[in-house]
Amino acid sequence: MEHDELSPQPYSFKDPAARVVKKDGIFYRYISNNYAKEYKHLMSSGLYDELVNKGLLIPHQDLKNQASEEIFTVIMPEQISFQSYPFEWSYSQWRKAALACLQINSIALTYGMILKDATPYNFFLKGGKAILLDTSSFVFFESLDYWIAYRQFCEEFLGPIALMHYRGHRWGRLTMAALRGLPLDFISEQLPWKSYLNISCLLHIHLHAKAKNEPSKNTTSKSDGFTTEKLEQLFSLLSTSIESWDSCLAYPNHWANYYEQDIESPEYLAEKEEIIERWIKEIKPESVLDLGANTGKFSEIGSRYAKRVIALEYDETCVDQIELLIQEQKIENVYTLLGDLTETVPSLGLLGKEHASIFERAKSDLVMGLALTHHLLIPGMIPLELMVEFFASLTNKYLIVEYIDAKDSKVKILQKTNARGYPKWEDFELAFNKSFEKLIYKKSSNNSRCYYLYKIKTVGIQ
Amino acid sequence: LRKLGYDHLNVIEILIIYEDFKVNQRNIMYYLAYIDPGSGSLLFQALISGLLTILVFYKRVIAYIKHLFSKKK
Repeated sequence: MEHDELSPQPYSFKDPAARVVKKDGIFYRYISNNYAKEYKHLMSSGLYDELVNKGLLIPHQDLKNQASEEIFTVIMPEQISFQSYPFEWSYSQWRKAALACLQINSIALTYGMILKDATPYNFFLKGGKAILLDTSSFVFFESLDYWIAYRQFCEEFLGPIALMHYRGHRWGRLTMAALRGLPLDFISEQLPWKSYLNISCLLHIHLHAKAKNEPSKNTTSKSDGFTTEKLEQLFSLLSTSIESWDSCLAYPNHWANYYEQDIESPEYLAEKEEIIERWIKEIKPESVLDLGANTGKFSEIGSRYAKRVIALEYDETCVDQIELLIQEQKIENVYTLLGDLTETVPSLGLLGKEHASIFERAKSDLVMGLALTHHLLIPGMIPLELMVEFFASLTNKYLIVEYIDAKDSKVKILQKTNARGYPKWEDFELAFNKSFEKLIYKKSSNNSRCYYLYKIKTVGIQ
Repeated sequence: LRKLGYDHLNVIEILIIYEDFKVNQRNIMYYLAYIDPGSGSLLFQALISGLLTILVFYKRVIAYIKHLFSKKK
């Protein structure tokens, strides 16, 4: 599809300083002439280098030869192989992004700049770090200017984090219903009384919520803003608060108990790892999607052979464990996100094109569903045929799936709370054979589980 | 205060700004900005700025005392 370079795109329409344009599968950022001064300062002052060296800003290549009358320059940022959205982040991922935003602002201040916006949608997570992807977000800051993104920071970062901290991590997912941030008065209403005792909540949420934002006379006075020193203090106070909220309110759930009981025999796990690794080595997928990734063991195996691995997990604690693994082992190609496979993330935002659905973003050469099918069939209540269709819609080529039969102890635990009929091994095979071609089948020598390597049939479900 | 390099706001001014914040809602135009910073939010920042005056002043006093102390040593 041809684009008029600076014309708004459904995924890039807010900022007049630059446009993101996708051409032949590659994303470019077109910098307009009215942003030239800021862009030049960002690049020549050393700010860009410092941020990129610290892993806080996405690096890019400047394609000066593509400049034109209206376009100052075109930059080609490092291409992001997967972007998870804030409503798919765990609490710790939210905190990482907020702290990165404040750190970038602090550093930018020393170069006389500041971020003109503060939205978590401007960040992506890689290698256990939050990285800013909006290169055209920097503007000049002079002493006694206001922090122009202050309200946005409170609505889109501080508010959701405070809600998760005081009221539970589900608030992270609920931000899907407010893509441009939750209003401060609403956030203030949801927070408990004890949040009034926290200075950041009291000032930046509760009292800030009382400030009425009404259109009125235009004045250009800026004498009431911050000196650089004060703004640095403000960033540091906000960072301290967010750092001190090291956990979010946890509700007791039966899954925690389930995982405690989930002590599989080491022989079973060792054999499973060996089988999966052998298969991945053989099929050499470029991309892997690990559904129900648990603590990320198999995502990590996938990361040794594939360029990109997406680890999708329902449990917040597991997502944090994978994040920790990624950080400790410096794994750059595993992307972790929270997700509920029975409530998949649809296309959202303007024209339904601003944020892509999980199917568009996560479709991979290989999909793995290990120790997962019984969760989808029993508590997920997904019929076998639809489960097959679900897998088929996420894979380009291969599927590795583990069959767990009705006698398995985990199936029995799940059936205690949801007594449903459970498919026999033959039904399982029959259903998968409709959309997939069985390449290899292997039975576990430690229990009744078995593993399948399937290839999608080219005709039929896409 | 001036000796400490501080000449912007003091506590009385904070109160004046707070009054100003309550009664006078203004809209400040910023070039290149595309998000609405919110007129109330901008004025609220004046209040925050006032509060930070105390913090920055306190930090400077501590730094000054430490400086004197280290000189004597």
